[in-house]
Amino acid sequence: MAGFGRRSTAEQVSAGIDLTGITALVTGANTGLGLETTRVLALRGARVHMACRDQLRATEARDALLAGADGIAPEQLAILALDLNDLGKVREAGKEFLALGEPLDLLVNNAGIMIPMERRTADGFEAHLGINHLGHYLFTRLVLDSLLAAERSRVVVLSSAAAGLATLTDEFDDLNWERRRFRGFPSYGDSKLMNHMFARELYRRYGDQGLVANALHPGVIATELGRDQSAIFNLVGVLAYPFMKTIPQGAATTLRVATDPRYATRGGLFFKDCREARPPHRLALNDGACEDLWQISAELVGLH
Amino acid sequence: MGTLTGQTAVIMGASGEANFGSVIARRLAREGAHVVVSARREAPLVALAEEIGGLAVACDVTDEDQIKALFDRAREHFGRVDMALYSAGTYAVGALAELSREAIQPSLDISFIGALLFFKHAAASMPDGGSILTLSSLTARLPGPGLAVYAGARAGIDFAIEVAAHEYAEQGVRFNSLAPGLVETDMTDDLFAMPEIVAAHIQATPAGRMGTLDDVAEAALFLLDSGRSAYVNGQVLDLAGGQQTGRLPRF
Repeated sequence: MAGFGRRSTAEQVSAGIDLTGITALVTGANTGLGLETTRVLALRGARVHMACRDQLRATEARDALLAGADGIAPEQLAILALDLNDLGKVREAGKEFLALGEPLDLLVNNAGIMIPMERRTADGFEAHLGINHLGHYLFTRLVLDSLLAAERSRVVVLSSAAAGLATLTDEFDDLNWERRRFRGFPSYGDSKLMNHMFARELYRRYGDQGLVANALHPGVIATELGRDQSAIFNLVGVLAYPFMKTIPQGAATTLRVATDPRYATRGGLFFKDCREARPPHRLALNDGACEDLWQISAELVGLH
Repeated sequence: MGTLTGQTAVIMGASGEANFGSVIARRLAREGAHVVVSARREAPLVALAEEIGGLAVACDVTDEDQIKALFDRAREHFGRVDMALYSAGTYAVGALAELSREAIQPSLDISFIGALLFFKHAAASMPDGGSILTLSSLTARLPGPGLAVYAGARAGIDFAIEVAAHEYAEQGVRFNSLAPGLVETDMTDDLFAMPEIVAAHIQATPAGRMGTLDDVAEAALFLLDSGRSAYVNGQVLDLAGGQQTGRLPRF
């Protein structure tokens, strides 16, 4: 058994695993962790639907993967238009995917936003709530039949250690930030906590039908950090450095949870650094709260 | 009458709108101190100096003559120097395997050599005693990958203040160090790139929150003011909500 950890890469944790015949769908597949996840899934033989908002960027990303040295075949990569900012468009994407009649073995809810300012989605939801949680909630429920049509399926949800900053309580007061002064950190944390709660409830509801759902913290990926010259930011940047990962390291936990045989039947867990980890917020361990959130989310997106 | 009326402080590293040096300068001024604010370039200092009725003096800490001149100016202008803060620093991270002499030298020049020479000339400007404070970092208290240079230089200075406390015992100059952890600022846009990192730090912090600039200013005021901390000497004060204690793994 390999000891995988925070420095392991997506390729390392999936080495020797054959995904030929597996159909996967990755949201936010055109950039960053989603692109690396797509690349390595395809490298191992999977067919991957790249669910992206911007079709031009999706096409460019697909072209780049096909032009790369991984030997990925054109029929391995499909593009699905998915705009999580607009629940009407999420419904269209769900319909379009269902119409393919293809069993879905792996769904990776990877897309997400992280912004400091208050923004609303097309449906009037606070953007972290709307895009990170509700959009994915609706899409997952819409393609549920495809997931259940696969003999075994996995749903991998990218949550975050930032769920530890969440303000959410089991009363789910003011989920949509209408009565409180908006704060970016807690709002992002709330959405990431909801991601984790969603994964647990999804597994609780459908685990006995062969669907396994898990949530994870990918790590913090080194990007433009530290190039700012302000003194405070430098200090923060220094404190951030030991936490940061490269993109191949950031996608490793996703690939592990998505492909390792040992996680084929175990759900409702939280992972980081390619291992099971302590969940960042205890509300996610409250089964009643997870169930309540499922119901509240159903009402918000107009499902039941 | 403020508690520091009649005293003079020299603050090195005060060029930010809201960095450690500038908030400490404001806090000291509010207590009535005369404050000399300094940094490599003068332009960003002028507004702060005006705001607090202080004096702006440019000083490149890699040039010992300029350090000496800074304290000469302070004494000329205000007659005496009682307190001095060293808060200059530069961003430097990288694994040992990636380091070169060129990558190490700038940090060493500012964070180690610059600090020692600042101590030398600060103490020389305090013939009747005084208080010298330097800014360290949580990273010099707990090891983190990639920080051998940044943290190593500060850890070296944290030991040097113990040496200095003995060397300047008779002159009555105290040396202390302040080691903040993650501090919240108004620059939320910058911090926002890293909520996971903030969350990870908070989870490791018994106080359950980030530090604030107020926390920094109050701690610095305490250590700089000999009316408040005369019996504290050669001490590194952790300002990290308990995060500096580390802890055994959770399982």
